[in-house]
This record gives sequence, C-alpha cells and structure tokens, in this order.
Amino acid sequence: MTSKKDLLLLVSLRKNSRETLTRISKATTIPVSTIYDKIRQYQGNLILKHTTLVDFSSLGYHARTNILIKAQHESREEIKEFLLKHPNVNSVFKISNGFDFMVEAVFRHVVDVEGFIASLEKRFRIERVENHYIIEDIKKEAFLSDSQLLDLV
Amino acid sequence: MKTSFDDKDIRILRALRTDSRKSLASIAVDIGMPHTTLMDRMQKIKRIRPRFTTLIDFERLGFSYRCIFMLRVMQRIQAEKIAMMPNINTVSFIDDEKHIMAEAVFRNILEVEEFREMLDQFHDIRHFYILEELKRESFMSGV
Repeated sequence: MTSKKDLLLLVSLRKNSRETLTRISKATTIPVSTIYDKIRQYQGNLILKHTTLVDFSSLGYHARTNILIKAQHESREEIKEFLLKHPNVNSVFKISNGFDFMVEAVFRHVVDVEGFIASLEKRFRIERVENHYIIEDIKKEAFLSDSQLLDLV
Repeated sequence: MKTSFDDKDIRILRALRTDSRKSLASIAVDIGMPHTTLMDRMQKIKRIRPRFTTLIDFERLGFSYRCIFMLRVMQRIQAEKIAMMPNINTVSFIDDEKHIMAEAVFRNILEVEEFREMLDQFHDIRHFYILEELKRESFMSGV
C-alpha cells in the first residue's frame, strides 16, 4: 500500500522529474536520504521511466497519429514484435473492443504515415486499420501530477 | 523565430528522453560533448519547453483500469473540462477540432462506469480498455 508521502513524491516527479531532492524534500517533508532511497527502490517497478515530453513538431516531425489495428490471430505476435522495434512508434497498447493494438507513431510527414500503414497491411494479416491524426495535445501525462488533486483520486 | 536543431541537440534530447533525471555532466560525458557546450545547447532546447516527467505503473498504485475514450465535442471548452477531470491522464484533439481521444485511469469498474455515464452528454463515444502497455514514450529514446 503506497503512503500519502510516497504519492506526494511521485506527484513531484510527475510534475518535474529533474527537480532536486532538496526541493522535493521541502515540498513533501520527506528527508532527502529517504527520497533518494525511495526513488532507487521504486525504479523498475512503480517508476517505469524518467523521461522528457517534447513537442515533436518543433523537431520537424509534423505527423503524429494514433493507429488502431485489428489483426488476424496468427499475426498478432509478429505485429507486436514489429511495433516494439519500430523507431517511429512512440507507444503501443493492447486494447479491447474490436481492435488489438493502439499505436502512437511519430513521422516527419503525412506521406510517411501512409507508407507505414501500407507496409503493415502488406506485411501482416491485418483485418482493419483506423488512423487518427493527433491535431493538438490538450493534456499529456497529467494523472497524479498535481498534488491538489490527490484527494480526489 | 523558429529554432533549428542539429544532430548534437538531438543527442541531448535523446539522452533526456531516455533518463530525464540524469545530470547534464553525465550526459555530456556519455555523448562526448564539453559540459559548457551542453549547457549552451540546453538553453536552446528549453525554448521548445520540454517537460521532464516520470512515467509510473498505475496498476501498482491500485489503478487497475485504464481506458481510452474517443468522442465528439461541440466546443473546445468541453474538451478542456474533460481534461481537468482528476482521472484523466492524456487528452488530444484527433482528426479535427471536434473529436478528442482521452486516456483515463481508474481504481475499479464502478469508477469507469460513472465516468462513462458522465460522457453520455457527448456524441460518437467509443470506449476501449487498455489491456497491456507494451511501449510508452519510446520515440527518440534509448530505451
């Protein structure tokens, strides 16, 4: 069972993972040494990764998309391996309700997205694909990033 | 003024995408760049407002249900209100400025159903459960 203090620590890291341990300690009243130990302890289980969210369009990647894929049963494992290794795939989830995978992918141009989907359909037994271009992020990785909302969850 | 990024900037960003808690001194050593050069380039990178965050395993915290909702809103403010809800992790406009995709996290099926009922005021609602996360924030990352 995760304590309230542990949740406050996670919220601090979700808000700014580069925050110094001293500042986190002041905000959470957890001693610095405890914070250091907890971050190490949680690494690889509760904490999956400390990362940086970037506006990819600023880097020249103007086509970001969520692709829903329904595949024939025998192709699913192959598709999963392909998606896990593909450099343009940012996130992959197994989902329910009519589809097998939801893929968030990042490309420089729309034509690259179309090419990616075409190559999937050519290479694997795909029953259905739905492509949804991401126009704008309103919120990203927001859950448990605001200590004021902690009591609501 | 549009900022342009070269290979060295991308290498710094890739390092920060891989581990955002790594010190700039360590990153400088890893990518073979003088620390002062890296510090200068960080000023340029900050212009695109990167957000340093930590990805957590929601299930281990007791949030066993993760869902994706796709729906149509009539006005932007409705999408922004959905984005403010405490269970929401991510909201994006997709396809056009009327359709959104929202990812939300819940403790139990009752919370999912309550949220789903609240969405009944909107149109074209589709609901998917995330059964397993296979990969997250991997683009331009070493991991």
